[in-house]
Amino acid sequence: MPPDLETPPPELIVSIGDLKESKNPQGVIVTYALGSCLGITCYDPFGRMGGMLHAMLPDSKAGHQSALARAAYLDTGIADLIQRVTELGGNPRVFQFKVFGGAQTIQASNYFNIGAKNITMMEALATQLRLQVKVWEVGGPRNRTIRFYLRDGGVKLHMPSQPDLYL
Amino acid sequence: MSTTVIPLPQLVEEARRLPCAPWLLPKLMEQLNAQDTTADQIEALIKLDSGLASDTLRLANSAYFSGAMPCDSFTDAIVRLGFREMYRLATTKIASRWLANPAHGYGWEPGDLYRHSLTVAVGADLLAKKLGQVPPEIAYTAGLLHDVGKLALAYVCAPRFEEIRQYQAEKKCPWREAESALLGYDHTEVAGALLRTWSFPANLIAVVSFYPRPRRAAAEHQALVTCIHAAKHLALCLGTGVGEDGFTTELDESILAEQGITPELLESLLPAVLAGSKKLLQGERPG
Repeated sequence: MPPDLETPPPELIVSIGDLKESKNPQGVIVTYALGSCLGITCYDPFGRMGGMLHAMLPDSKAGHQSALARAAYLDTGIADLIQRVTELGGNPRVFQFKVFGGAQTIQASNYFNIGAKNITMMEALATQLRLQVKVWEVGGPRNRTIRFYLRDGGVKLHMPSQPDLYL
Repeated sequence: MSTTVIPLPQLVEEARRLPCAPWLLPKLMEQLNAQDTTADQIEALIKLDSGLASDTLRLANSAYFSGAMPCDSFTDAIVRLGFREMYRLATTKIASRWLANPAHGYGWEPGDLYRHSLTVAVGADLLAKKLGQVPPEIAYTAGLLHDVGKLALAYVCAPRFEEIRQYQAEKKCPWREAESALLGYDHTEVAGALLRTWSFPANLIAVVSFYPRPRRAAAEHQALVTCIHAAKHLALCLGTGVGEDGFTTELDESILAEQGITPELLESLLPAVLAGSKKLLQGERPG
């Protein structure tokens, strides 16, 4: 069940191409409107600490000219997410991940398939790094906002005009 | 469940009653296109709308546009930023005030329509600069306005949205088609009718009427309409302010290819669209 939000705890906001971590067990980390991007949570259930990444593109080696942050890309962002939660005192062997986003336009085939590319990259990274991914809530024509509760690692998923889910 | 269909002219008339109508925009565009327009003429025009001049100056001094010294008059701002940039600021203010009208529909959170429209505008501006086929400031304005029909529809027809939602989910069709099937018109037709009542130029009427289906636009407007079609999808990727209908918007990949808008080009623009929209939305709730 979602925690009681009558007195909402302080929220850390993760913008696009950003990551945030916290070891406050009452803390909440949120990212709005993932679109084709992926939002990934990393949680240490024993230390009740974790972090969230909001990555926009799959591959930092794809040669984009602008100097985007490492967190904008999945390959570098996932590595940094794991490192930052480890630096908080987390144990990488128990980290649990949840993956959200990667929306795609219903008629896209060759264009605007960034969502699909992101999902493919994340699947490859999960295999390569042997990540324990507990939730894949990805793809489809849905914009997603996620709130990550550090007290139990749950994620409240909001999609426009849909009932919220707690995963 | 209501099945009342409001005739399109009545819907347009009701939507025109929303506060902060962008009636000044076509006059500004006319002056932008005139060769001999002066800063005084622009200032006089903007001062017709109380509050717009100060709002515009505030934006000129924002993190996105400001230099070392603040602008404290319109003349200062025009010297600093140039005439076209001032036009862009004024249009942003005019459109944002109208788009910020509260309306329930499309699963919007407050401010979503403005955030999404601004992201489309930034994408259209960048794409226009890259392709060199349409004036960037016109593309920017078109991006800001492209979804005005949705605001009108949400304002007047909110009780019908549950039926539209169910129809779209069942048929898995573009949301626009669901609107059309149930209401007899869709948000693009509403937008076209609305902009005609404000005497907007034909190119902007073409954008709001045909941006999901650019081939339907007249040949002389197709480059601009296609630019907005592409910018719309760029903005969808970023997700900012995207409502429940967003990812069901039609996509014509063949016209993008014909206009030289490649997937690689679009992907390469994403970081700049993100940076530009972030700066303009500074201080707003993200998303």
